[in-house]
Amino acid sequence: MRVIIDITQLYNWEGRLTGIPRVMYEVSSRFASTHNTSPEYVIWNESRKGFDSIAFDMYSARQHPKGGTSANVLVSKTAKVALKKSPLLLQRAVRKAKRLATSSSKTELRPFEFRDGDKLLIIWGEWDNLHYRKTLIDAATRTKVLLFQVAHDMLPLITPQYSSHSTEGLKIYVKEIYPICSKIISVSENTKMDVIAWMKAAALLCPPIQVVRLGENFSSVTPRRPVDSFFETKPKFALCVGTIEARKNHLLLYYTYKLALKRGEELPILVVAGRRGWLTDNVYDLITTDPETKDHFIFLHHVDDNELSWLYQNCLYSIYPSHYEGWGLPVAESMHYQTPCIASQASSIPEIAGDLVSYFNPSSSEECLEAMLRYADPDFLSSRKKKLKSYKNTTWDQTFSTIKQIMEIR
Amino acid sequence: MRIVIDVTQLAGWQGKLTGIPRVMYEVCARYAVSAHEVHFLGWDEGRAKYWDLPFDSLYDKPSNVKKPGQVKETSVQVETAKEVSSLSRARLSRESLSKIKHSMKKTVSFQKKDYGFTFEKNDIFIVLWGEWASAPYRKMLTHAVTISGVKLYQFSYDMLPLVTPQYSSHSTLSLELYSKEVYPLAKRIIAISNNTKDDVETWLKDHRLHCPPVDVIRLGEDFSKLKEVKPKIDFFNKKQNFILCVGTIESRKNHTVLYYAYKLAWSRGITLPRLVIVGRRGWLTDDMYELMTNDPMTKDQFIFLHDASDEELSWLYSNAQFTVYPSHYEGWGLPIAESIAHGTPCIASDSSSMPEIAGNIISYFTPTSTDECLNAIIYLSNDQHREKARKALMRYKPTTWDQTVDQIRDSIEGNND
Repeated sequence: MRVIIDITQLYNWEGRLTGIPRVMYEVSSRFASTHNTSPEYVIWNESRKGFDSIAFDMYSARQHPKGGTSANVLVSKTAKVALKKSPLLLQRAVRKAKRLATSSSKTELRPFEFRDGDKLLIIWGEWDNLHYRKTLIDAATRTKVLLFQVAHDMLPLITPQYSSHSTEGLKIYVKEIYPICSKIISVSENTKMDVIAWMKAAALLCPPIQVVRLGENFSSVTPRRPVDSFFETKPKFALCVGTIEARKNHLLLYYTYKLALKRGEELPILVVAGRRGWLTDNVYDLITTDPETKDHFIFLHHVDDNELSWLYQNCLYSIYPSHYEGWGLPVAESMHYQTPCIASQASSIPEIAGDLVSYFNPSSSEECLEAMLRYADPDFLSSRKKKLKSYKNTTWDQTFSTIKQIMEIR
Repeated sequence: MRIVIDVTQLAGWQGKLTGIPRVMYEVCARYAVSAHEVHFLGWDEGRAKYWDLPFDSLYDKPSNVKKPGQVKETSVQVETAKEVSSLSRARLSRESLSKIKHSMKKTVSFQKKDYGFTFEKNDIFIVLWGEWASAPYRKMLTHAVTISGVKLYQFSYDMLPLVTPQYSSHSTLSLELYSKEVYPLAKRIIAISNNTKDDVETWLKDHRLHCPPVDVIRLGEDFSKLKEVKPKIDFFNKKQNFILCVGTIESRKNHTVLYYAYKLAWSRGITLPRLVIVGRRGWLTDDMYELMTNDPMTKDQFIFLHDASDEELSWLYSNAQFTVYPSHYEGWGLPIAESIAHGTPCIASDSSSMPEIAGNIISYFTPTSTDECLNAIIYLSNDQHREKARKALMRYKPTTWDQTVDQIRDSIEGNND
């Protein structure tokens, strides 16, 4: 039995590892470092319309990409940095890569052939790609490969308004691939429910779905204060982590701050950590040019994990107003750092920490303001902080071991 | 005493008289028949000079409006000053130009000086708008006041780009320069609302500039009904209840709070009537528009009409259960008055000038409070509450253009400046 992991998106990822690429990195790197399984890593090769085998060491892959010229498949600096952050994993991966490199020819990428009984873990999937789907269908139905598909969320189907692209890709992917999976690995109960409901509505066979809890620990980070004069004076601030995109609902925070100002209520300065995504230029422009609010928001578009951990540790509380999530990592991260958190009562978010987090309706500026004003009371805040001691952290090691169990790998 | 009126935006205006050209027309029409010597000046940016125009050259009436008297019966749609300003950038029409050329022949002997018109000491110079962006224009005004000694009466509609730059699609610099250079020179400033008056006074004070006395006038309203035409959309054939929101789709008009209020209602299991949104698509709201029209929770709740005619608008005002006007900021807020004119209750934002229009005759909400907005909508969705709100509208006293111009003349001629 072979374990095969599709790391296409990680291989092509540029920028800081967040969201699904982070899950992909944390899980697949642990596969690389286990002794009793020897996984194969594959990436989708569009020119050949098939999978290529690749060593998990992406350094060498980066140095000799497809004949050494193609630049768009380079692993970004950030991914390199991320790998550097887990030196132990990296060492093992490098060792393994060298072993592989000596055993194979000089070319890093070679066509991969599926075999009967292979277990293929798909952490993301090239939804939009017809040939990719065809290859998967072939592998599952003809070669009898067991597919394990991770379902993060059904976002484009349930909340199409927040998607930057067509929702057709996911729709077809779910229709064609989900029913032929051995198991679906869902990152939350909410996503599990969404998948079941959607497949039922589409009259599709739904394979067993098991839920895995995502890890929330950063591998070996050293908290570092972001370089911004604002932080030099040890200011009190609230923290909002997440890409600036409509789904994350920064707009509600803008309205909440304006409402507070109108009523003469004081709120802490809000540090917004997240890169700029899609469909929110207008909101971003509003927040940063409105004379009333612009001094209340500090945007950090390029924080790394070290800076992020410093922000979590030094903020008063974190706030997460998202309309919809498959999971909601920033809430878990806040808990991990024992930082009180106010979050929206939506989708999977309440699953993360139950009543350790305070909630508001993501469409209500009043509820959001009310929650923030409650947290403005130092006594209340410290009582909330004390409660967080009962939070049980989830490590990526635990996530990895659950996925192994689901895939029935020893 | 000579009266000199800057009519730049009215000259060559075609089509329906709305916004600031409308104000100009009403003022000019009344001064034209006054006992005073009156001059109507149109600024020519190319020559950096004025044309002295006869009254009947000021406005290219479309064929369906034959006489000046009939103009009164057209409906008023005062959009924001800024919008009108961009519209009025249009060049003078051919018809106007020929009239102007004709008038120039008559007045050429009269023009002795730089600016195409010879200002005299103590001329009453009424600037109903002003070419903010033109440096030569600002220079001319400065010259007219400081050298020629005219008495400048400057209108102020709103200080929007300065007070709320986040809603502006363009640079705010030109209004800033205009306000700095011209406002302090005015004998009096004539504001269209107390809120605008406050903004002008605060802004000038903040910039340590002299602030002349600021008078407040109230814009005229036309309550003569248009023929009503039902929009050709299937929804309106079903006689379903709906709420109406009129105004350009731009972030200042705050359609966002309506989107959130409808989402909030949905999450609380409350069903609201459909919302009909009438307004062309403006700037800086593509993202919001995408959200509103794609969100499966709400998209069927919103009906957008981007090109409703005045007749259709009139039908919509008359047939809506009530109207909602959530704007963050206005210089005045005519959709409120229009709603009242049609006997349709209105809930409006409580900010800037909006409460000045109808005081306690209508009800208000904080434009950044999703819950206040939702509660106001729920309240008026109740038949009894709405009937009560409808009756309250009887107390409203509309302002006629005669009254408006009387107020303007009081400000200009009634003070011993």
